[in-house]
Amino acid sequence: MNLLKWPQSVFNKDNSFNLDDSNLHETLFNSLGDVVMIIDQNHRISLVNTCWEKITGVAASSSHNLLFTDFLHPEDVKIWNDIIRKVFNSHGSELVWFRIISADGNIHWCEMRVQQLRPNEHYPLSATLCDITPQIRNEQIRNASHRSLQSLVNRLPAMLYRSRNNTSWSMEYVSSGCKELTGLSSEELINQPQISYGELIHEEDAGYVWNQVQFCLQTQQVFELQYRLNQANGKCITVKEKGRGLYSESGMILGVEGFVFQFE
Amino acid sequence: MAINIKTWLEQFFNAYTENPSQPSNPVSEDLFSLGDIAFDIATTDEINKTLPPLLKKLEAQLSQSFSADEQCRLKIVFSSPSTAETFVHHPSDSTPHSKILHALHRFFTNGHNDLIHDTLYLDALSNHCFPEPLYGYKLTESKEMNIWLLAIFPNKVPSANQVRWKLTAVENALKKGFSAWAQQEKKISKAVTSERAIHAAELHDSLAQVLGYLRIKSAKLDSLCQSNTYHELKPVTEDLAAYTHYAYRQTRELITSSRLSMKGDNLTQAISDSVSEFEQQSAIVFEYDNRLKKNITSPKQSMQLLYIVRECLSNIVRHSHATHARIVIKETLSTQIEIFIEDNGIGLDTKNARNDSFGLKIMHERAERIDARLLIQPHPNQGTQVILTLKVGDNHE
Repeated sequence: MNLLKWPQSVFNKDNSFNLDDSNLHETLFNSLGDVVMIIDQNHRISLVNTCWEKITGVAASSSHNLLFTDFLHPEDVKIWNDIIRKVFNSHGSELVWFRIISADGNIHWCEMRVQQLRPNEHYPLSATLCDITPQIRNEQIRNASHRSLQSLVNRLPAMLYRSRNNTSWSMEYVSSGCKELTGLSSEELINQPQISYGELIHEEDAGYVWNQVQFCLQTQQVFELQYRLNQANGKCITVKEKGRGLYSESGMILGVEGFVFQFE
Repeated sequence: MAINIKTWLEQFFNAYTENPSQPSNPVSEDLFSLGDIAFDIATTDEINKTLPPLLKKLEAQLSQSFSADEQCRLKIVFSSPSTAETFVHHPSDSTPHSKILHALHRFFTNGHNDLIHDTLYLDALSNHCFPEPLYGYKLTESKEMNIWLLAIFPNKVPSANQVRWKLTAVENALKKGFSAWAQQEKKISKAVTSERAIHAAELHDSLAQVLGYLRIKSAKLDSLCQSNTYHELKPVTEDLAAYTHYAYRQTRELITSSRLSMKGDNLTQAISDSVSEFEQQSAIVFEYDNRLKKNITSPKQSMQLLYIVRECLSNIVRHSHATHARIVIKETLSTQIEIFIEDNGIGLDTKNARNDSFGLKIMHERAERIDARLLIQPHPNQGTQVILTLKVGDNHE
């Protein structure tokens, strides 16, 4: 099969298509921006369009009869085998991500949709493949930035929080520092009706905390407090807190954000 | 009361094999030697050397129970799910065909559903297309290692019931032996780890603290002797400060060595764990690209490689100012691997390297210990590139 043969012309003189012309199908096949391929029962490439070369650096004509798995990253061969089993079980089309190693040794992340070419036969398989490396790279950068911020926040010897403005100070978010400060994990403190941060504040200081915060919220000032906190193990410690309100454009109080740390 | 483990095990196995309630079958006549076999496995220091003669002995015994055309060949397979490694033990005079070895490796490392059962039957007609029909019996199962007894019948294949009946005593003896051996191995490994931890703690609490103090004092002495008044002392104090720092760094390295352990000597997993550990400390995008199809470095090589990679990762996080780092491991020849550690940071300033910086020196020393070639150079585009080239044994197939 000649894969790369480019037809002389697929158009009629009046620029309309000649749908019976086999060259038209080949032109269409090779014009696609995604790889389209057929893989046989030995996992060899039976047919592939020219877009394949853009990803692998290997010409489509030279790839005929090569093992598809030879292009895969060794760690991803198992993903490929698993997806084939899934295709056979579901008799439908499956989506999979894996890495292809190009001729120059670089990695290309690819998304493949694979299915049986004919409904009642396991093989051959038909597949489309597109290079998603730029998206993966962007995601890696976003993840690294998020991971870095997350670990910074969670390692701080303080509890960063965002809470609702109610006497229970019910938390929407608390950093991992809450465990050292209160003895409770973030999961125990976030949106839990049974346990609230407000209940940990020393009984005699709770009124002062509420009044101070409300005053500062009304005047849109930063608040700074020092009060006693009962830890989960019953020990009473003194803490310092600094925070501010979260407001809508119309000035409505939406919540409170700040940080609390133990004051020796 | 103290009791010698060997004596105890001997008594235990003899008691077990002399139990009159055991079912009688063709190999039960020689139960005493089966007890010996279990005992030999349970107490061996080198399982690789113990198993071949033992399997030969068992095959000879079984030849009396099977007919002449039902030739039974025994293999013991160690399969490690965590490292995807398979070791096949066989009698020394009957090396299995490479086709069978490859088929066994594929079967035991691919996580087949069949492996959840305690028995197996595979042949050319089964899904896994085994070249020679075999029955398999699971001897022990753990996260680290699964051990199977395989009975291969290249000629006439007896029925499952017949094989099971003839192999029950052998299977039970091996189960006992391997179970005790696995426990013993676990205890040894635990003892080594705990001994290392004690050394690390001692080094940390005593020597490292004293050296840390000496390092600060010698550095101060050196800086005081920089003035012209003490110019004669300058070379001596410089040396003193540099070597004290070197001794301090080496001690810290020893502490790191003692604390660092590798699960099953699996280098690629240990590097992956290290990358995850270091990426938590920075906003650098780490890309780990392991192209090795199997673990082919020796435990000694793996340990030194891991230290070098960790030193590189630590330098990237501490000094490189990079946004991206890439760690690639690949087999460049069948007997050679290369590890690339690259970043896109500010690069290494070798001309203005601090006198008290011993990280690179220690990396070179570690590379020399395993005959690896270590190249540290500017990356062609930007940043630094470290290339480690290492020869590995060519018998890893």
